[in-house]
Amino acid sequence: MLRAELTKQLGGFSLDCTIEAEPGRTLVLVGESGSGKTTVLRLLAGLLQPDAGHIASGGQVWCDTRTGKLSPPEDRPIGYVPQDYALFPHLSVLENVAFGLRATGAHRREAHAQARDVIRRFGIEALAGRTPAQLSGGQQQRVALARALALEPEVLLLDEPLAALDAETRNTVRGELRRLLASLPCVTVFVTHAPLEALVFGDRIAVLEHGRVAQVGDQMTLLRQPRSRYVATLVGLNLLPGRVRARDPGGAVTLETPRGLITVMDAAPGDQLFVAVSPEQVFLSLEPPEGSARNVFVGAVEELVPEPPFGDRIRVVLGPDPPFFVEITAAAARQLQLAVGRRVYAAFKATSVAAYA
Amino acid sequence: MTRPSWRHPAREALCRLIVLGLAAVLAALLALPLLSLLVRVPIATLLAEVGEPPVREALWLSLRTSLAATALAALLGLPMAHLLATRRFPGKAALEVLLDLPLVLPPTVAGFALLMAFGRAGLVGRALSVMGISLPFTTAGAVLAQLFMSVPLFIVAARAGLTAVSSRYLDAAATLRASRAYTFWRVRLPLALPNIVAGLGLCWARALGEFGATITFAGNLAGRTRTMPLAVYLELQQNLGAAATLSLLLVIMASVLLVAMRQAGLGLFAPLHAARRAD
Repeated sequence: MLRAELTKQLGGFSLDCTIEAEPGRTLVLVGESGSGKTTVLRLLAGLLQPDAGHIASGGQVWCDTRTGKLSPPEDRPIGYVPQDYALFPHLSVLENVAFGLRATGAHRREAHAQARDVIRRFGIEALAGRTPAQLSGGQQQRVALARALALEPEVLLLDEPLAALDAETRNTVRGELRRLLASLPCVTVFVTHAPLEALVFGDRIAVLEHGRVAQVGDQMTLLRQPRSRYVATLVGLNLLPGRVRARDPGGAVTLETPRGLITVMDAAPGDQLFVAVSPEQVFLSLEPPEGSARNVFVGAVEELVPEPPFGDRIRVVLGPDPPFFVEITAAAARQLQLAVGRRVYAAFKATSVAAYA
Repeated sequence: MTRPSWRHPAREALCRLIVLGLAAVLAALLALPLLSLLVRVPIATLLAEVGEPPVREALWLSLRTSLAATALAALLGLPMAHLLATRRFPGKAALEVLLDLPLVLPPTVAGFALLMAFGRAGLVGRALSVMGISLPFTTAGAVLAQLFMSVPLFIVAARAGLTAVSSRYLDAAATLRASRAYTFWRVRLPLALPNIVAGLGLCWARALGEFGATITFAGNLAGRTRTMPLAVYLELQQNLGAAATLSLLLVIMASVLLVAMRQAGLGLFAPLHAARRAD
């Protein structure tokens, strides 16, 4: 079990977060660049010192600013894979992997034998004599992982491990890495800005925004009930903050949002709720809609984006701020003669809105 | 009426001519003396003179003293370069000035200062002479004079190289449980090695060519302190052939060093700029 409470001031940026991760599990820290993900990793590794905080893993305290305890990186049982891998350019693959073993006192021969076992398990034995400059991106990534895991760390820290790879390599490496991480007994903390990676790798996912944890949960919680605009955009939902105005005995609840009043059929208790609307459940029309939809917004088209793979569906961005996303078929868009600047009515049913705390 | 524009073809041609002309003058100024040396000493003379005692003695002494000075510079300079590259401490600026001083000091002044310190009546020299150690007018004194004048070049180069090693590698080493000392030997030093080797090259060339400090502090004693530059100076008045041979040998050694450094991807002053192209 890894538990860390960290605060750190860096220039104008302030980090204040608590994270927990379990052995054999992967905690993903996901957030935009500048959200503090890498800072958290460097604090866990001991490469940065927190202004205040406490880090403990497996019953050992690594850092406690109240008692002044601060273990340097070399005293922490971690494996760290930085974003650019930082393989030693003057050492061979074998020597890179053996580096930690030799640094902790193993003799050259013994360290090399052990390192050879490790790279065999990673399927890169054939590369043993090469230097990092002679490796492809995918191979470098494996060497970096092998090097970090050779010392059998308690906590594995991965900083955007797939970011340095080209798109094609990334797809194959993603699956391999997923299987590897699932087989490891250690705590893994995985940092990424890519929502897909967060969903693929995260047994638990913590969303970092401006140095704070905006939401923690498993994949399903994040997909269904995002609690920040960033996550909502990641998973493709419209997210609005809503204040409860009225609760109807029949179950209908009316909320005030920055876009206007919204009625939902089923809402969690509380006054302040999140309101999520799926873009596919919204209908567009040029005239005020008639019929069963109880929620109607008026907006101007700001952007029309064809969706992959075939462009059969179009993502419509409605202004003014905050942007509201609607997804319709290309045929419907043609019929409505949608163009940027056009005023439209967006309607959705009370039953297609989720309201949660 | 408009004045002739800078873009007028005749003007452009004139400017180009001036630039090329001045560059040619400078190149000739540097090349002519060296060429004259070559013309002055036929290969046969060179080979014959190298075997003659005055040349052979000076060559042998120069090689020994300059290599000794370079070895000492590495031994004493590397810890200093490491301190300067990795630490901040009070008095650092003063120390840097002290280390740069020999680069701009007239060598005779350096030699005189050495005499004041290590001479028989000098500050340290008196204590040393009680122990039966005497530096002035000895081969060891010549080495000390060369070290004094050349070690700053090594420190500047080595420091730039050590500074330029990216912290990414040092961080990676720390997370692999490496102590600071282990990280220095296995990561920082090998990655800075090209600059350190270039610094040794610079240092050696400077030691080899040292004249003023050596003659002031160590004198001009055949076989003991008469290094090649001193022998050139002496033979100029006695035996022009020997002087020319020694000069040509020095030019050849310096040229070989420069070419070797370029081949290794190191310009003479590249190591001094290493910190700027860090990463």
